[in-house]
Amino acid sequence: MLDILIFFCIIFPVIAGGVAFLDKGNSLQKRLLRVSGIVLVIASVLLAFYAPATLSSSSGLAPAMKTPIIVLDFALLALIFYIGFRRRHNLIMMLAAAQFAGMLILEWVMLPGAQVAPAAGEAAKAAAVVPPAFVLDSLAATMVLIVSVIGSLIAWYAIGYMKEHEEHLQLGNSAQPRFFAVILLFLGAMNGLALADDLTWVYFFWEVTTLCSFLLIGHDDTAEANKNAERALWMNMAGGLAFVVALLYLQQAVGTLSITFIAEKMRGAEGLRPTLLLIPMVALCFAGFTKSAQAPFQSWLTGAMVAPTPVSALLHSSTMVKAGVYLVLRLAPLYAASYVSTLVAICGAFTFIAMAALAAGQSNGKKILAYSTISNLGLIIACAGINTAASLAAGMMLLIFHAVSKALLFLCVGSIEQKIGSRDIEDMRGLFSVMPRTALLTTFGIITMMLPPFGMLLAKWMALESAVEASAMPILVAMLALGSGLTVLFWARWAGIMLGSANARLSVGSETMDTFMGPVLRALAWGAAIFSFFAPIIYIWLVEPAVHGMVFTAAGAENPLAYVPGSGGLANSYGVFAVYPIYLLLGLGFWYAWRETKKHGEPGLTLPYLSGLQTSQDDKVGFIGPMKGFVEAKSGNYYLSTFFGEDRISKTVNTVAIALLVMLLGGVLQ
Amino acid sequence: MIVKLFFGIVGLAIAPFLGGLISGLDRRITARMQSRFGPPVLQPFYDVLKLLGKTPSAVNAWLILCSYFALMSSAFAVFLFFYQADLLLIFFVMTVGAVFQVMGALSVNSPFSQTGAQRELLQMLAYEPLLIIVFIGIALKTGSFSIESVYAQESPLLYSMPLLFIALGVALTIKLRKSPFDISASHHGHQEIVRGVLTEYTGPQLAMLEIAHWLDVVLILGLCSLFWATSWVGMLILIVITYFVEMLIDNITARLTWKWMLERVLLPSMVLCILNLLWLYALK
Amino acid sequence: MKFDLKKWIRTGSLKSPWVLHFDCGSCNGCDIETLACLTPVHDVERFGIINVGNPKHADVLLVSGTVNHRNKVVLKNLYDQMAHPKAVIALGACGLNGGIFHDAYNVVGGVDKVIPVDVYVPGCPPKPEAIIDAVVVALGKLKGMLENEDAPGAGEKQADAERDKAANA
Repeated sequence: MLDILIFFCIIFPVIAGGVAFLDKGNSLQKRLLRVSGIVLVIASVLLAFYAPATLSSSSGLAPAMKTPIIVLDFALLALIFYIGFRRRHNLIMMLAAAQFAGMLILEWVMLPGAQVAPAAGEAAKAAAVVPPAFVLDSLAATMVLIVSVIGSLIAWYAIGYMKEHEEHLQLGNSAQPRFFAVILLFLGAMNGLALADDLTWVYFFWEVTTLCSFLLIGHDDTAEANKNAERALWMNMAGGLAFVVALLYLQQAVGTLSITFIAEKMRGAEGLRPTLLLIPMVALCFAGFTKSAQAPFQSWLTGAMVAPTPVSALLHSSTMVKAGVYLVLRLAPLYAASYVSTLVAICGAFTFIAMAALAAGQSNGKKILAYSTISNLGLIIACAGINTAASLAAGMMLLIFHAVSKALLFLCVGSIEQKIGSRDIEDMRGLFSVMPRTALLTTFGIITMMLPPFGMLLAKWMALESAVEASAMPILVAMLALGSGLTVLFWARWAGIMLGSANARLSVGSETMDTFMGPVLRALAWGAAIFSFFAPIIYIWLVEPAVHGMVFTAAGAENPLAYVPGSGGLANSYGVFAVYPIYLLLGLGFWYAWRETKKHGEPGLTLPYLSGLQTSQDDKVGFIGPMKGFVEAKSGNYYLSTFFGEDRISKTVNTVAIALLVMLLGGVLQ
Repeated sequence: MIVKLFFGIVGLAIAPFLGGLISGLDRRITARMQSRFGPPVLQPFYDVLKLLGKTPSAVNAWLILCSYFALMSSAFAVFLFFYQADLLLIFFVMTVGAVFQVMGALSVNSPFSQTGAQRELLQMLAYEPLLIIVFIGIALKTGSFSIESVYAQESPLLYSMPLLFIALGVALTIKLRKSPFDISASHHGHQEIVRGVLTEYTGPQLAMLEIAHWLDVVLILGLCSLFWATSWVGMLILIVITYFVEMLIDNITARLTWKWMLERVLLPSMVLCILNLLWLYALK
Repeated sequence: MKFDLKKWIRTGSLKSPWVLHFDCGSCNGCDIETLACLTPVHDVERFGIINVGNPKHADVLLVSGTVNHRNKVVLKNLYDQMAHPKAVIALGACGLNGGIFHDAYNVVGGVDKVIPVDVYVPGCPPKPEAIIDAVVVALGKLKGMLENEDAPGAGEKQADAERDKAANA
């Protein structure tokens, strides 16, 4: 059964993608996407109920996948090399070639040698310890759920979006088959990445997502899109190279590439010194940083915003960039209680604050979302670096709730952009009177990102409380506090200006929404609301089991519980996270406020105060200007460009981030 | 649990009256500092009662919604304080009110309201990190974020976290929009951007925000009192001195710009916070 | 004892008149006297009087100076943005009927040509005491409005319409 479910999660989408690619007439596509989305959702939910489970590499699905993955891995690297060659991009060629060489050494020199050794020694024992191919723990299950459910929703949304998108671009030849093929391929690869236990497999899926990202960023084939796609490719390939280095080192030093085995050896009494692992761990964290676009690699993600919006939602906020933090979280026990952990926390916290500052200086809606995504990923990495049970739990909660809220926000911006032709938040002033439902959904999405009682805030709250136990605590806490202040700044002003409307009543006007796009937006909004309410249940079901296995403890010691359910939510020695009462009371308060406002009916409609010169025309407020003409009153947000302008602080941010990375790498080589 | 609930409800019932009274005393003492006679101590209550009786006339429904919700979240925050809940929770609930107040102001296309809202966001940016760090400092000292654990301390927190108390004082001044930080909505009689973030709230809505402001005063002074939680007398003296200093600063300083606030007030205060945290961290 | 919110509100309303001061083209003589009321010598805050800058928060509109064709719209707009119940005080000779400018080509006349005026304060300029007294008289008018709650502001609205007509003619 597990075999079948994993097949449906990983290989089925790839096959569906292949069919979508061959179907040039677009006739099958919608049905195919709908069906594969449903299949993915069902498979991932069932899989989540199966957790924890492992699938041995010696039976079932795994042996059949082994050879194709090795072959495809080399084919993939060759393809990327070819892309570099075609685009005359030396860096991409070099990185691809280096990885090709590294993998060649691993597969042909090191692995065969390693397999011979134990067989010659103790055959029986070696047979008993076949490494698992797929490990379905709660962390992996969470990731698969996020990828499959949110990924499918975004893919459905994309059906409506891409139709409009192509009509807008007036393309002769539809590029949709390729687009949806890559999307489906990506979903399969992401699930593979989450489930695989062998690091070579993780590496393969990792590189597949890099390629998908490259293809989708460059989808519109403009000069800017291609340039940004190349940048994304080389930065991710740099991470890939670090990944290969880690593989080689691990194989040499530990003799296995299975994450489970490495962790077991580390915990066991085999005398594996933790410091031995630090070099590959730093390399893998580096790979994770590039994938998650942590400073100084943030430019590829902000550049990736040229892609169609569903791509930004799927790859560049909800799932693919999560692969990086997923890896860092997954490896957390392997570098716990070392200075690497401290530095990882500081790197994450630095990205959190720096990207929040950059977001505060932006008026481009998608860029705000991109920077805030990186910022939140930084917070997750900081949580991984703090490396206590509570902080890892906070990190996982962030992973889940961020995916839902951010997907909603990206897709809302996509809908808004198609309607008003701009993604600048200044152009979204008074959006409520143009697209009432989308404006409300966007505002709701923003509120779920920053205010209680919603999950993102709950997770941030957990993160802040867990930071008390961190090792470099004062500096870390200062960064986290300032970062969360900045977060409120850029979210609140966006939410506020959208609501502007001359309509005095609290009635949501009608708005025609696309048959695919509308329901997806509503589903995500409901998801954000409902999951937030059931956050303690999500914690017990998915987060606690995962964290329990992840926490670093001395051999034999009892793993501490991060939070104990109860007191109306979750609690630990530091605080009580009374989710239900807060949710109910704030919800009740909001309902009462809404009802009272409705009761007011039409409050004596007046115009805003404009020094006694106010007048209105066509629902717009303004002055009577020269020649008795109407001049609309306009105002803009403070973007604090003297503090947070992109051109002003990017250089400083990158310098500090590089310095932190050098500290991370340099310390380990000492 | 029942006792705490009782405290919470009683505290919430008393808080508006206490806040209004403090506000009235504030106006009276301020007047005396300017060698005026000043209004009756009950003047804030008269003002709010009057505002409640005015005919509502809002530009749009969001203003009404936001004022109701802002008042409710302030009340909730005060309740949580007397319920001795988690400090960060109180902070986040307080933020809800502030954010909704700003969102309402931003929904109106009036330059005064817009400018006020933007500045209010900057003020939030200035006081939020300070409050978070103060709370984390308290947790570092007491081992928990709950107010209960503060009351369980044997010696006043002020001894071990004097710099954090100064930072809390700065945050208090910014949060209560007292001069020199009355940037987003000036006091009565000062009209730089009319009344900034409050410009478009009229009549009953303004009254609700005024009550919310009283509740905030009580909440923030309550937070200050945690620094001398070992005795009632000490608590009272600390609050009185703190608030008197606030009034003094309010009267002897002129309004600053937001740039000044961020560069010369937020950053040095952050340094103070970090120094105090380092000390606490070293002691631990 | 019965809790009567309306009575409380009435008490509050009579103890907290917030004044919006609009200079409608005055020579600043009246304005200086108005601001003199705020100084420690007169200290109007004793009576809860506050000089606000926003018609939306004001109860009493204090107008000084002649009304001319350029600013009559502004005066009308400010008056309209004040919430009921409200009162208007015309200040000084110019505010009453245009004063020495009454026959200038650009002058409409006194404040009551555009909006209904409740209290007239003569003088060029009036003394601060007279201005404070005017606010107290205006409070009496407000009291009348509050007691006649059947149709809040109905009379004012009718007067508004008539005056609009007259001003536009």
